Amino acid sequence: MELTEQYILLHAPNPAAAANGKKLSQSGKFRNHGCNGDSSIYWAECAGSGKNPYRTSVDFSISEENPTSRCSCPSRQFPCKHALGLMYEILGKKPFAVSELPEDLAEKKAKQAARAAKKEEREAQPPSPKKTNTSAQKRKLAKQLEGLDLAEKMVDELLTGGIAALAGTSAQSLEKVAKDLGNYYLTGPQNAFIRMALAVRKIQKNPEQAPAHYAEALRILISLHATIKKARVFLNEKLDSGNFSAEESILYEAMGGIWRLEDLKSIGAFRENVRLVQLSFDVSLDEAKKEYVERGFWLDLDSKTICQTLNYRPLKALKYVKGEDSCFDLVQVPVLYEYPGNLNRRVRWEGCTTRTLTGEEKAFLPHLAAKGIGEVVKLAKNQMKNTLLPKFIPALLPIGEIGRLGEHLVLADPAGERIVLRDRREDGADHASVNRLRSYPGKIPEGCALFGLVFYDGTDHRICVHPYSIVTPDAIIRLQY
Amino acid sequence: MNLQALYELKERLEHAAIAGTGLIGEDFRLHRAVDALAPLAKASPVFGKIYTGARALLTAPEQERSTRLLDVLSLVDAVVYTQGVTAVAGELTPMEPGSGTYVQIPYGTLQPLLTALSGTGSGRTALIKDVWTNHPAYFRDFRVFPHVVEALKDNYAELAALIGQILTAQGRGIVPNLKEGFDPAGKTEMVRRVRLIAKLCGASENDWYLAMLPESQKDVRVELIAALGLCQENAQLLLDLCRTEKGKAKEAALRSLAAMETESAREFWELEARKKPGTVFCLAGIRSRLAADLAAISFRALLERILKDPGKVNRSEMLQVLDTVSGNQSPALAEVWRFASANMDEIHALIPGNAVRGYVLSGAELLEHILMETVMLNPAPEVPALTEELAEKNRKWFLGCMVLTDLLRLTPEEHYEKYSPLVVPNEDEIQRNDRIQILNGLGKIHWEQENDRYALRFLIRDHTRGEMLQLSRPLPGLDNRWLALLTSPEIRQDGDILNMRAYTERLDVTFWLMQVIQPGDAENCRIIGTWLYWKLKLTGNLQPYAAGLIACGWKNWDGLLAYCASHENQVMYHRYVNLLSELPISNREKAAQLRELDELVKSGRVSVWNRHWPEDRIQYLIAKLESEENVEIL
Repeated sequence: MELTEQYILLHAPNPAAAANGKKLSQSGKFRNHGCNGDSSIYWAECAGSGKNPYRTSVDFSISEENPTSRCSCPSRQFPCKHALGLMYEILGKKPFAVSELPEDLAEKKAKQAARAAKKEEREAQPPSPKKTNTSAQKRKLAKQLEGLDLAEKMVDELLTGGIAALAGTSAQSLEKVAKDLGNYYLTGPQNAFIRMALAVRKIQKNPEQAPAHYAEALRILISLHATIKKARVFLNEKLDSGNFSAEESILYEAMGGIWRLEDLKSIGAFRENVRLVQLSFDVSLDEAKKEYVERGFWLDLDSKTICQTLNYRPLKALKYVKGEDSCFDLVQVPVLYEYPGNLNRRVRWEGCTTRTLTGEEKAFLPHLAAKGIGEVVKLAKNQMKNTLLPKFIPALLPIGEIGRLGEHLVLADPAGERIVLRDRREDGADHASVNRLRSYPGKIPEGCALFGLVFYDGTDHRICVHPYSIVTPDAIIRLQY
Repeated sequence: MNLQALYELKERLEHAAIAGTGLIGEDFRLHRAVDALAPLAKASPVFGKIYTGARALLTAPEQERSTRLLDVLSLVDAVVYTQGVTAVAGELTPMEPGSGTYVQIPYGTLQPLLTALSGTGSGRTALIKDVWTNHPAYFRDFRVFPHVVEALKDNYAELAALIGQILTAQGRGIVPNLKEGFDPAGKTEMVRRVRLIAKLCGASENDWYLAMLPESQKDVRVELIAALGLCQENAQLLLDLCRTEKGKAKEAALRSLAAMETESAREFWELEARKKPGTVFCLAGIRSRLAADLAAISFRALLERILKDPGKVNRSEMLQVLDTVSGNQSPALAEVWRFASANMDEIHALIPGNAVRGYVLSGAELLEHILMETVMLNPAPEVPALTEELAEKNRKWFLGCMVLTDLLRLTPEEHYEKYSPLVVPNEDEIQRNDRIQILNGLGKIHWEQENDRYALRFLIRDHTRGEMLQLSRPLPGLDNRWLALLTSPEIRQDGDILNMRAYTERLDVTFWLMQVIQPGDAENCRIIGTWLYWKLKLTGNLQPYAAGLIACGWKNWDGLLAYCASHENQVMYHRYVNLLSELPISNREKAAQLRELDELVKSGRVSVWNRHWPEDRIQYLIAKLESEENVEIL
């Protein structure tokens, strides 16, 4: 296996942990380096602040994609900075003496092997049919239906009085209803109400920005209305048919359902041995859910589609949730899980390896762009007219030319079709990238591709692209991160 | 197809949602918008559906209106999305390539850097400095660079100075970015931009300075006028500005005019200096023939006043005059120096130093210091010639300047041959003065590890900013025989040598030796190391010499901790453990030193400061160090 810095960053709980691990390695804190005969387990001692050094190990023997790290330090981060530092020691080709496994490590390995054997044994046996608590599921569905009625009533009241009539106390009552909806297993509509309350508060705070926030509140209402209508049909059908398992439907997530990897596996939403290249990475703050959303857009070299990773990090638990970072290498994923959806599906994986992209692979990337702007715009319109789906699509567009037209930047594809490049207001000022594109270093030749979000701008009824990266035959030049 | 009716209907429906469905019945604009859609409804089924839905909304009972409104709005929205246009007509103008580069910077590094550059609050300078030290290329990244320029407006002067340094290092290529969005009526950020452009481009950007001047205001104007002084073509304009400007802008115009080599500028300034002699003070830091000649007039007047009536000479006024002299040279000024040289003893007596009142130097010592500054600041060949002449005539006061001049122009060997015979102590009072002057010059030599060179260092005042700046002039080298001579047994007890004299600092020869350690030079390290070790043994104090000995690569550390503790008759745990951790010896040797120290304490031969001697920790350290285990001593 080729251990790269990107591999370490990908496995680090956050960039700071990786940086701290690197510092430990650079400052020579590791001693007594050892590894087993086939160089699949590495261990060393790392000096800490206490009198005894920490005993750290990284074990690639079970899975190269998902190594097991062990450390005697009290950190709750996995891998901890010492294990990451040890990976940097391996990367730095420090001398590791081949020897017997230390006693404590051998013990842990034996326990791990026993657990793995048991698991294998279990998996070898025909799976016992999963027991479903039908009455509990029925009760849940009934409760959800009840919640939908409540949500509908609230929407009705809101519209009867008008969004403008919401004052401070109304925003509070909206938040209270939102809280109540949590009891009905409807976190999707619950979040919609929280977002609306937030929009109302923003209007109160900045009355001059009211039109934009009203538009936002209306978009949420329309989507909520559609969710309520479709969810009611969906849930009634489930109740009637007695089918309580997770289904490949976007409604499941719209109502607030959370997909577990095993659920995705059970509905067959996974692919094996996938090669991905990250086109862009960005982070935004979801004020309603009080969490950071770390989003990566990836180009699947095999299916030639674009998928996305979404990592949610609640503000309350920032320390404990692994943070993502930009990835510049090729990621090889043994099992890639895909969320329901049509275009640009959300994906997740448990373990992966990385390697640097070859020159041929880099040169091939711009060829994976769509045929032309027309094709992408058609797909975008199809998605946007669905009230439950995001009002944008990520797309890789072929570049014929990028030039200025008045104050606009315009992309023309090789066939001459054009689209305006513009920042998507909803993404916030920190995502603004058109100005960055204006100061792009060097010339963008024909044959490159532009990656960005295709969206509708209501101000002039225009479909535009928010540029995120320029894909050249040599590199992916990121306008974001 | 003209979709205006559809967009209007959408707007009215949204308005109805904002105002409340209860008012729909009275909303005549909505009714009109629905009616206007009728022609479109006939053209396409989907518009027909919208039309029907909208009509149903208008007539629906109140309790159904919300649902119907959202149904119609959903449909209108969907249609509006599908009708979005992309076409843009007109000829595309190619984008001009930006000047930056692209660097693969992960989010985890880039985002904090951008936040530090464009944010507020503390802790940002350290982060930016860290990135600048470790990844200078990041600042040329086209995503980072605009934020660097933006950071020039930062309120923290330290951060703004760092940003200035970062931008200066990028070279002239950044000038278009500095000009972009430039506001001549702006504030500090714009002042800093002008200063940077002037620093990077000098007179070559004169057209831009001229173009910005008419609209400029306040401090930006002052800075632009200062930049005009970089180009000789601006003489007439500066003359006009001297007449029309007021306050700081006038002062800047006068300073810039002094840099002009024209007769009209000279005439104006001479008249101005006659009318208001104090105006000349604003020339501090300006180095030009005119400035030198003007300085000569006020310098001469000052000296004459000192000699005639020293009681009326104000010390701060004297410093202001000397500031204009510093770094300047001209025949007229040389003549005044000759006059000063002839009267140095008198000036020394008339204007004595008074440490109690905050000024150490006498009038004559101040003059000597100003000539030294000129030697450091002005590379013109006339300066060494003047120094040589003054030193020949008045060795007592100007030999130190000559030593500096020769350090800069002679080879290290020649310099040693010329001055070393004068350093050997004897009873002759004249030679004692020579020795002091030579040591004074040598005291300014430093080894600059970062530049891998010897240099003369001098603190001077930056008159434009009112800050002290460290000036560094590279030297051809330092003859190691100086080290051998100054540490030789026959002169090591000499009081002057043990107290190398510099005007701004009192420098012990030991610390001078520590500032000239050249780690790559074995002979240099041997001589200095031996001296420091001797000093250590003499004083029994390891702390002041440890760093120097380590820098020299000193090997003999045996028993030093115990020796020093015995000498002091006391041991301070933290100090000794700190020293132990720094010593470049093996863990076993450290264990031996610590054991020795511990035995001294246990036997009661030395006392323990504050009774703090943690026996368990010491035994633990000894055990760990002896077994060569990695252990944090501190």
